[in-house]
Amino acid sequence: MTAADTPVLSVRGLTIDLPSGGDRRSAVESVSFDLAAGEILCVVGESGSGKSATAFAVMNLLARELDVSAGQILFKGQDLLTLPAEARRTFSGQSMSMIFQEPMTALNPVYSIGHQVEEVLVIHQPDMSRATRHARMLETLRAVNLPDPVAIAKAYPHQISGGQRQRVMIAMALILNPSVLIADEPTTALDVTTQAQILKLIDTLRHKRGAGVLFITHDIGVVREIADRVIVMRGGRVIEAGPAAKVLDSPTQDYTRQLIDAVPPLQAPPPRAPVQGRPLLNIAGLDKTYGKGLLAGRRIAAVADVDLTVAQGEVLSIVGESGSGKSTLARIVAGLVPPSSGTIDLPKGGAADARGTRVNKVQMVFQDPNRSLNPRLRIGASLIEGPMNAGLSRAEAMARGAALIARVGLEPSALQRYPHQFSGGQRQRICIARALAMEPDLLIADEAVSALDMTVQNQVLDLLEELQRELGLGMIFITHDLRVAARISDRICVMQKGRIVEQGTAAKVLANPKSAYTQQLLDAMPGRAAVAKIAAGI
Amino acid sequence: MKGFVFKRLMSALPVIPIVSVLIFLLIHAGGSDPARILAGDTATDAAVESLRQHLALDRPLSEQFLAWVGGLVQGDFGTSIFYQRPVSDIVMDRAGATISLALSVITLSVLIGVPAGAIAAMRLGERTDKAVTFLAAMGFSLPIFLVAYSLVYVVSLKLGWLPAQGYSPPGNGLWSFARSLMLPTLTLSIFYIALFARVSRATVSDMLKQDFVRTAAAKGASPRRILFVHAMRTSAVPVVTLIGTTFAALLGGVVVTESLFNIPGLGRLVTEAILKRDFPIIQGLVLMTSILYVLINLCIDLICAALDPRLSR
Repeated sequence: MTAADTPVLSVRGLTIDLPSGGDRRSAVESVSFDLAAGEILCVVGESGSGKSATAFAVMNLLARELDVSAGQILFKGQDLLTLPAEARRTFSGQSMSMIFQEPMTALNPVYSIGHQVEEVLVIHQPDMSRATRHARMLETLRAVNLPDPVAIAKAYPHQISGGQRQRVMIAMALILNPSVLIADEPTTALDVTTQAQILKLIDTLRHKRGAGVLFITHDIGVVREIADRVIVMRGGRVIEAGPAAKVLDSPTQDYTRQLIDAVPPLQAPPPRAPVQGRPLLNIAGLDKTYGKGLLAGRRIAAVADVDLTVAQGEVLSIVGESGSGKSTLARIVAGLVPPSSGTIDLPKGGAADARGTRVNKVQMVFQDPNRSLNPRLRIGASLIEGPMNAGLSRAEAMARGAALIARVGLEPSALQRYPHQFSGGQRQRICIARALAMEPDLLIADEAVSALDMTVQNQVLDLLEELQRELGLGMIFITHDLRVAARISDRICVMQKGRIVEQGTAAKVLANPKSAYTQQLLDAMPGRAAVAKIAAGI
Repeated sequence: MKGFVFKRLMSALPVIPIVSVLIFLLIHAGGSDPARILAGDTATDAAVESLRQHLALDRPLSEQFLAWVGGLVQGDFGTSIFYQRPVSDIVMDRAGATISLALSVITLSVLIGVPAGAIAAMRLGERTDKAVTFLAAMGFSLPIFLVAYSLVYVVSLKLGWLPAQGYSPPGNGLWSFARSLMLPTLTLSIFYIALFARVSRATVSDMLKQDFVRTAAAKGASPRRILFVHAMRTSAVPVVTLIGTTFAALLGGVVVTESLFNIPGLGRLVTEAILKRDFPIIQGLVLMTSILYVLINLCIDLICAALDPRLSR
């Protein structure tokens, strides 16, 4: 090991205790790793694996109930854990900095972007003049390729996009040229094309500035794209570590293989026989425009001129980035939002504009299972609410709920418990049961698996697929992830800026995309280049 | 921002005519007779009748209403039946005491309550937090007359430091003015300190859990900076709203405190007016209070919009 390879960050035997009474004793157990300057080290694992706790411990951001009980965190040889709080703070933001998963909430909503980026300088270099600070801030915003830094600096977080916010976070993290950058799932909340740009930015900047990057992710595709070395964590322990190519291509642990296999391959699925069901949903000329306030007078077309059909027993995926109008479309079909113009026909559901009828025939499963169940209602109560509103007796509704809970793979005792007692995957199963309790003809899954870990995602997709076949449901599956769409759909419809830019069988759209935008989405999938190389035998 | 101010102003204005109709109807629908009360128990029916005519109380309601509104438009709130003086003059006489009391209560409560709540939020679950929460619960539950009489007993009667009753206007010397306000202010503030402490503790502790606070910590911000610059600033909107509504409520009259300390303020004026069925005073006072509420709410909205840029969208 030469001097240049001396690790900037070295974690030795780190153990973090969980409060007593949990299902395991420690969040992190004897974790050790080194991070060299200019290197990207990916920490991979599912939720609960201890990867975030490790990162938070390094940054001294652990929740109060978590304690580091053993180990060392060495920054250029100095053990941070032995330092008093005040001395440790001088490292945060200056020598080591961090970016987070949710760029929406990670910025303070009441201060301008410029103010928040400059705050790092105010904290660590209080003697710097106002003018220098301002110049330095603009220069850093420029370095992360933000368009019009002067305007962005004056804007507030809610006025810029998610991708721009994450660039602002990166600017804030890098303004003092730290030696260590910790990125905790920084692209999980972003669209694929934005994700690709942010990954590229992190990759370029670590070369330019020579920072070691500790990159935490659950997405093997992202790991393929960016990692030099990989450590795999499970249950608070490191179970495998090594150079990226070695870990990804010849993993020694079954668990690592399982994680890698959980990533659906992005390849055109074998053509399926076209679904011959009766038409379930006919949409013609659908528009939805939002006014931007009475005085502003600006109109935004969220959905424009959409024609769509779904047959009984058919799975249609709607793919697009955030802002493409796919969720608005789903909400209109579910009757949650009225359309501005156009027709929605649900031939089987009787009168289409009678809202009550449509709610019964169309049910939705939402993205965030943590927030779509009432935290104060027992699962049983959540399940019977809809059927009882539709006129079922309590006993009938309970019987239906119990049968569905068993069908989605949960114990009958689940009915007596509260949402917080379940994992994310289990909660999404409950949401599916809740939707099916209304015996819908059409099920809309709005990003229903994107908040879940890959392996859990696969299990929930399996369940959805089974139920859809078993019950002959029509399904609209909304996703930003082409891999998921490829796996589950009969047909795919790609949306951009409120319009459908491409529509066809899944096999056709993925194998020969006709629109440039679909091609762009395909190219942005993380890990695609690497996979293509492997497939081509390079 | 200009558009926002204009919009808020336009939505606030219609409240005032609606309120004036409601006040008038409520008061006159009660069916009680100020002429009978004014004339006294021994007056003959004929005397009461002539008094009624003199006060124009025998006219149809619509006519009385139009006369009242006609006066209002010219800035005339009417004349008190009992005192035979313009309502606006009487209110001006009494407003000084109430405004002084409201201002001193708000200032004391904010200065003690908000920091106490913020500190408790920083130390959630620790001894400081438990102490603040306990004291706040006490402050909430103590009946106001108990606090008032205990304070009077100890501070005025036993120690003789402060006057037990009465109000001395600032014209009679600032020191005696301040001394006369101290006990009533303390009495009322105990409840409001508790209220502000509880609300600040709740909002600040909520803010301290937000992701942007974690970001600030990752930037190396000290706990003090996190509290003052990030958590308290973002908690300001609910706290400012509460301060504003509290202030408006205090101006509306603090009947019990004014009665206990014998302060000639608006609270006592309105109780007297109700007992004497002095309609013009009640109408005038309620209307002025509602205009004040509208104005204070408008100010709160504008301050909040300045504090949180998302609100003025």
